Amino acid sequence: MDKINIEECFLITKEDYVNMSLDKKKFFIPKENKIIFRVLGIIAVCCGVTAFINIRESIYQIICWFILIIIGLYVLSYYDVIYPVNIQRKASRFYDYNDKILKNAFTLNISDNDFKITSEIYKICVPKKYLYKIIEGNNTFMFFIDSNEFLFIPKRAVNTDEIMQIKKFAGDKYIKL
Amino acid sequence: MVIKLSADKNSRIITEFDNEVKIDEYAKAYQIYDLMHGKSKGREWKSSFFFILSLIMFFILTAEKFNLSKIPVTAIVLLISMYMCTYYLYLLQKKAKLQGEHIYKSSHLLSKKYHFIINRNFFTVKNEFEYIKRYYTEITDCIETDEIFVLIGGMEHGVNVISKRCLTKEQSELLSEYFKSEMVNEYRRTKSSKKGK
Repeated sequence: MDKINIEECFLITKEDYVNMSLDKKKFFIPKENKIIFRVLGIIAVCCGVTAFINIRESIYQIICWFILIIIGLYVLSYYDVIYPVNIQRKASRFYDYNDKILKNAFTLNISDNDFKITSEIYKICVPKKYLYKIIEGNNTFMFFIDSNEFLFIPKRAVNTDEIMQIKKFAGDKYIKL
Repeated sequence: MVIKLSADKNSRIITEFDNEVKIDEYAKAYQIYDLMHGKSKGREWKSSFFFILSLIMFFILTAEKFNLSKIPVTAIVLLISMYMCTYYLYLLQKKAKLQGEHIYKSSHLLSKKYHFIINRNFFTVKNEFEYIKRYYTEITDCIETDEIFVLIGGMEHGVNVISKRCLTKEQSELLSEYFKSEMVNEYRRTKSSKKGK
């Protein structure tokens, strides 16, 4: 049986960081939330428009339907437009603010039982059993130390064979987004 | 437990100690983190928005003499706004505490003993699995409560918790003074829960 042996050195670019933030949010937000928001948004917009056309007895009613349509549109587009744009903007700003930390070179080492990431200011070497989950996003691998904190590597930093090895290393802790 | 204590600011190491955080201390720290950078951030503004929305809806309902059959949506929006107002003011904080406890339980590292070295320009946190070096210039918030110091900053707004249980009285005072002088804009002391303090 082939042994797992990955050793890569990489830098995190702003694009990597933004991609990671999008993958992270994708993981943390349940799919049901998105469906509920879309359904609620559609219902609110439909109700608002129908009421606006048919029931206009007072100015208060018109204001009420107008507010309903605005809320509906906001809720409908929240996870598809507003949230990703917001995440990208925040991630980009955060990267610029923390460039001294993020522009350090990171070295990744994965063997059969250990996961190790080192940089000038941070080192972690934990046995596989201490990892909470390993998530494969669209552009990143996220190694969770607990249910909240994780370390990530951009997918571009590893080749296809190494991706397979990471999946093998993750075993039952592996989740694909 | 205590290895070295130095009040001399010119020496490189200010103090060093072993630190072990308990679940309730971490939960409290996470609650503080959530207030600063998490969902609870700006909760006053958010709850105020929903409070104003509730008032508007109430005004519309009053103008329509509470005839719910005419404007049922107003009543629904009023109820949702009132819930959201309460959610941001009270429920979210409780949720953050529970989440902090959940994170602590899910981690194999947070409950381990860490060795802290407080240097003049940075501090290091080390145990057999992890090593973190954090400069004070990276710290965005340094909060002191009666039980803990919470240092927030660095990559992904990492949270470092120092439990005062693990410090001597002198060390606690020294750290308090040092953080206050080193992180003037970031340091905050929460109001003491004990009377007369």
